[in-house]
Amino acid sequence: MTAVAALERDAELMLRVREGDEASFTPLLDRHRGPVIHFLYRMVQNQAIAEELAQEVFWRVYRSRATYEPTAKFTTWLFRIATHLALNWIRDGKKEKGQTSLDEETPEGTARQVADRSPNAEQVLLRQVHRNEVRRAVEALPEKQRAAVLMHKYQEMEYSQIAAVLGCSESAVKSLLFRAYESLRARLAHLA
Amino acid sequence: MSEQPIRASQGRKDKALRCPIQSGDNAEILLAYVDRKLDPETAAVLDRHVEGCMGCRQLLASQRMVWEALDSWEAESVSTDFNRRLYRRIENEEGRWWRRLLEPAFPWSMKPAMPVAAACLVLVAAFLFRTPGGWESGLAGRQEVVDVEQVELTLEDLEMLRQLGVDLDSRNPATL
Repeated sequence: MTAVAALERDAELMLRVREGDEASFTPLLDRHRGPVIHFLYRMVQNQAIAEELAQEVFWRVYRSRATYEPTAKFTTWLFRIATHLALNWIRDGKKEKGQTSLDEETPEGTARQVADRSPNAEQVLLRQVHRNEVRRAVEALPEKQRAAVLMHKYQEMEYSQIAAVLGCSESAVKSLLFRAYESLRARLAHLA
Repeated sequence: MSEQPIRASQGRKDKALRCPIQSGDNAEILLAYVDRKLDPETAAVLDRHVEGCMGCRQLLASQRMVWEALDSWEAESVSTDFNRRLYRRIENEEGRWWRRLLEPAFPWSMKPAMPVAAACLVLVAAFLFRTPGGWESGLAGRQEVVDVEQVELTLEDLEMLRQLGVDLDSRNPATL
């Protein structure tokens, strides 16, 4: 499916949901659940909180079905809600309550395992260390820069769409990204 | 960083561009270059520029490193019961009787009306407390209790005077 067709399909499905066809909500949820949760996970760095926030995102989408108008891209609307919730969660300081570190042990007492295809134990450890460094470097970014980088890198959004999500101009997005990548280059320089 | 001009193809074929770092275009052009999103013509021009520009070469190398580091950060898998939890929530929320009653009349969210409602409540409470029948009537009731006590004390005083043999009936009450 091409990008344009996918966008039209999203709007079409949401319009069907608006008309009372509740079954059309499932394909929308299936298509966007992953990207939204992954974005939220990288924003708040906690899988359980990310899923909780994603539940709220999709509940809000469903609740607003009666007033939905396809004036903007569905994903822009979706990520605007997701970003708003994530930024609020971070600003409310809820982070302190639910943060789990990759270094922490699980309730079962075993070290937290992260999927890795490498057979070499040393490489596994090295990758884990690198991943934690990346996670910390992203976490250290100011919230808006973090959101802009995650949408740009992982969602492959264009500047105009990121601008629409964050409610700022395209030039402001370019500036956010420039500063964010500059910080990341400095913080991760030792990994080279 | 070199002064060697480069030419880009994105609608600017006739315009010579300076080094992306010097011109301030690095955020856009260099990011697109690293992400292989530049059109082949512009990428080829930039390739040639980078060969002779140490600054751009270093920036691209470190940006590539950041890109690869971010690629290594995989997201965790989503819970298998995510949809089920959401549908249960929808069912619970949609099933609430007050929502069913109110939503056809007020399809918009009631949340913004909450501060206004709270302010109205405070005003009504303030109005009630300031009316004579409200807060002040409570004070009046308290005053009456004090008066009854005083009457009782006066009666006790009169009884004591009677016991002392004072003829109260022949005296002017005003002189007591």
